Amino acid sequence: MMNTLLFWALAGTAAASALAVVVFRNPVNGVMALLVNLLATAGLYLLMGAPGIALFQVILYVGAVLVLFLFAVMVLDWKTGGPPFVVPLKPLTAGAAAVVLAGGGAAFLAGNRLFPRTGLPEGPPGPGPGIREIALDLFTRHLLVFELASVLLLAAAVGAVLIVRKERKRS
Amino acid sequence: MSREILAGIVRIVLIFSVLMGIVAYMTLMERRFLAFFQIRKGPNRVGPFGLLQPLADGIKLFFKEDMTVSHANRFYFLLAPAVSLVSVLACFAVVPTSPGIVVADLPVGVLYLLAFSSMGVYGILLAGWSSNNKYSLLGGLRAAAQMISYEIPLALSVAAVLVLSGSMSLVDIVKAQEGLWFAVKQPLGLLLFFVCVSAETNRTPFDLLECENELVAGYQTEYSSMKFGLFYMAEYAHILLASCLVSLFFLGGWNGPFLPAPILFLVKVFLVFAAFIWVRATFPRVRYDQLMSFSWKVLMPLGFLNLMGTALLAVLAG
Repeated sequence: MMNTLLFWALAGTAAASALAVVVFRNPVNGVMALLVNLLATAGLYLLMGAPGIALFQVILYVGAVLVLFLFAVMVLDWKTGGPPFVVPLKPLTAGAAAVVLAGGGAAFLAGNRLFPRTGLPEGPPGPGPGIREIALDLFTRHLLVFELASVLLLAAAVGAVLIVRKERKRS
Repeated sequence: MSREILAGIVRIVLIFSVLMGIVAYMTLMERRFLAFFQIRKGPNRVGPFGLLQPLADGIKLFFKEDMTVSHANRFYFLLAPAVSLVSVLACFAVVPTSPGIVVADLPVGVLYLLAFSSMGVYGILLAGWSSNNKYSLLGGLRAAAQMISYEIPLALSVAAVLVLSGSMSLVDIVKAQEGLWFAVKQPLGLLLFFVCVSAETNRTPFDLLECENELVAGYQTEYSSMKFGLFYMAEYAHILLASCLVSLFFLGGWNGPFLPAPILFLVKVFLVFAAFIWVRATFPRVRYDQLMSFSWKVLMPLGFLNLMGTALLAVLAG
């Protein structure tokens, strides 16, 4: 019961804040709405009994990626004034269509019931797979993918350094 | 169930009030110690030895005019100090002071700490931006860059501790140090952690975001009264957290001879805090480019070396 309530509150917050990201005119409001969205999603992970994933989401996305977003947005020189919200009709219609299609597909897959009763365990969320299990899995079964991802990240970092260097030489 | 919740609330309130009391007296301790280092007296008029000074400061802050500058973004201007304080106070939930005295001993305690302490930067960034003031914005931007940069070597030095303890629960980390403190096994890690944590808490020599001679007071320039007070409390609570973490990760927590566990832990926290003040009184502020290159070119490679060496030794030693 408690978990179901929490689930709907978090899911509602996540959906509303995702919409707010698109609708807010002030980019700082947009970034803050994204922050709320990420926290709500982390809460959902927590509810599913995956505290490790939830905390990694907060550390990586909230603690690092989004700070850089906010950093970039704050030094932008955007126009003030005008209405606080803009409603981009076309993308929103497209988004709504996508949601309906995906929801329909999910409902069909779950045995043609609109709200399938799966997932949420009763009582407080259990420990779930711990950090040790996640690490063992990463470094044995998914080692190749893991290493490939790290090579990709390294290439991106080298690329970023290269771009900065070139600009400095020109100026 | 409701009994459990009630017990939890009582524990939170107790730990919170003790915490705020310590934070208040840390301000006095810092001022008296700085005075000692600079061969002057410091605040010694309010009460015996100036012991009522924090109370007087609090009353003064409460009665100051509470201003919000007219061009500020009101919502974020009010939100920022709250975010700063809450993100630090939330961290104390997993900090144990002795076996059994902890709000929540999470199996992922270290991740929880990293997650919540990384939220603190939002308070400073939002304060800087919403004040609509050039000095504030510059202070906020500096803070964001600095705190993100120093989080990486910080996490690396903590990762080396995790390799040794094999657990992310702070209670287990302290238990792993019953024989030998990690300060002995991890001297480089301790140094890295201490430096990074001074940068994270924006202490001199890394307090560029509120550097008086360039930025007035940085992100808190436009803040007055208790809103300023909240930032001040957040800052000292953050330093207290840092002192606790140094003691827990490297100085054996409550392990040690003679004294009972909580007192021993408090003594260690006090000594680490004294070291923070000592550093503040000794070193001049670094330049901004020095600050950034120090993190990326010195601390990060050292952090990786330390982590790899620790992992290698852990594997070789079995």
